[in-house]
Amino acid sequence: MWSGPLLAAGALIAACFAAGQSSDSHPATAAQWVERMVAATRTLNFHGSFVYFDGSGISSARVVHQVAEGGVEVQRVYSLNGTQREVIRHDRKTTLVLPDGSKLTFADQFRSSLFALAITDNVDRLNESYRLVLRSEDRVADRRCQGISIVPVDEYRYGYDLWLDQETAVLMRADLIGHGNKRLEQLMFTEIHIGERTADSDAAEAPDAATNEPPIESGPESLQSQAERDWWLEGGPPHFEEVYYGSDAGEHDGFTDHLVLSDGLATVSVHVQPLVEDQEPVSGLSKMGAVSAYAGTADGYQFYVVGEVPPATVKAVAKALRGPGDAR
Amino acid sequence: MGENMSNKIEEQLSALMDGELPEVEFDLYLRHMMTDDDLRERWGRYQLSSAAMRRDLPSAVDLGLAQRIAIAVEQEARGQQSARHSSRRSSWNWQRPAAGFSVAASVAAIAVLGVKLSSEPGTTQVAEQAQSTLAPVALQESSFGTTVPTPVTASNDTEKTFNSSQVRGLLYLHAGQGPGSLLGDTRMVVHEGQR
Repeated sequence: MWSGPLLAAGALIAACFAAGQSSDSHPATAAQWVERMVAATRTLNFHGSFVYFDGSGISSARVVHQVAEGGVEVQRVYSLNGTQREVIRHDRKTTLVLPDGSKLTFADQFRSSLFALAITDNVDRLNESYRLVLRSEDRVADRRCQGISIVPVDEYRYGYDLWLDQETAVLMRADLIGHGNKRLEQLMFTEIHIGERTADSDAAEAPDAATNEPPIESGPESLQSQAERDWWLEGGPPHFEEVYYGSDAGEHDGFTDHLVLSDGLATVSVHVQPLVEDQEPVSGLSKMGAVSAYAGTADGYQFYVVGEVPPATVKAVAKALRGPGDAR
Repeated sequence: MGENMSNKIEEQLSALMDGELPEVEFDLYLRHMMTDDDLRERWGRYQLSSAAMRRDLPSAVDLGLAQRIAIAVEQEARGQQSARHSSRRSSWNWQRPAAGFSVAASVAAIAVLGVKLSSEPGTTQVAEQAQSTLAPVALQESSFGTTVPTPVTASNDTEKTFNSSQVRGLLYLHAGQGPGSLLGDTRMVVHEGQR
């Protein structure tokens, strides 16, 4: 899932940084900057505070990312105001800590990353759906940054304006751009420490916190063939490919199929469950910030499609969804 | 710097901490912060105060007046939002699975939650009230003029047929089980925090 050359590049950057050296040669293209960013956010320790804006309000939060021996990553993200909430990612396990201290744990099917490019084996995959454009330099959190735009080729995905630290390529600011070139979300560090292990208790708590509760398993990690499963896609929005399929059949009281699609950057999840007695079916479109969701029913099942994509994309996925009642 | 200007910046800093700074002032203020060492230091102190209230810092750190002020502000804010938050906690209890509880059950809880919200007038009222207190914010354009193609056929983006709690539950499942990203994780920690 993660190419050797990228890992090697990331390790080199990390080694340079740890030795107190900066990289003298900056990448020449936007694609190279993105590759370097992906590697940097996997291999470097960093912690800092950032502000987040999604059109309905501004929040502040903090991230602590540390890499242990063997490359195992621990990352905590928590809000700094309002109700206390926290997300801990430890290797392939994600734990959401709720305000009352209880935990909801998921077993990830993917390696976590600071930016959702991790599932892309190589940045070239993005070229089908996006144009990568080098932009001007700017300063974020008192660090010189290189601007980059990820411009979608069609209306089925959003774009990004990114600012990467010139020294380390760590993501310092990300603007999610929607139709009409409007900013839907904005995330910007106000202070960051790169290459340092934090002295406070932030990261030290993470491994224990993530193991208090058995994870919610989503099923086998491998993609099953279409003939072996009940739900699949026929068509769908362009350039989105299935990257995961899992089923809980036989393991739990319920039965849920879970599909994940990706164009290399944006992801869309599909959840399917049988309608149970007295359950009121849900249907139609809804939005929360940049996240679109579409619900519908088919053959006695309830399905949900959700992702950080335009409404047209979740609708297209729903339209392409095929189930037990459909001919193969 | 004149006193009026200083007061204005202080008000903006307070608004930023409270998540109430209008987006039209957001960029301008952050740029100001990046060139003003004193302002950055104050922001840092406020952030530390917030972290200290969550007991995330070593006890040896003395935050003095800033911490006491921040604690007082936080307590005041909690008092104002207690009804709203208690409603949301109950929502989460519906979605929190016990050990071994399946994802299927989680999704079922999302659907059930929708029914619960629409069938409990008091709860619905609180949720609607919470949404109405959020002032609409004008979205700014891309800094780089990044062009995102607009659908040829008009898409009804305002169509809304199931409620925000249900979308939030789906968002958690999507972010929790999908490939992680800082934006995705941030959505999980802030959407219940201040909304």
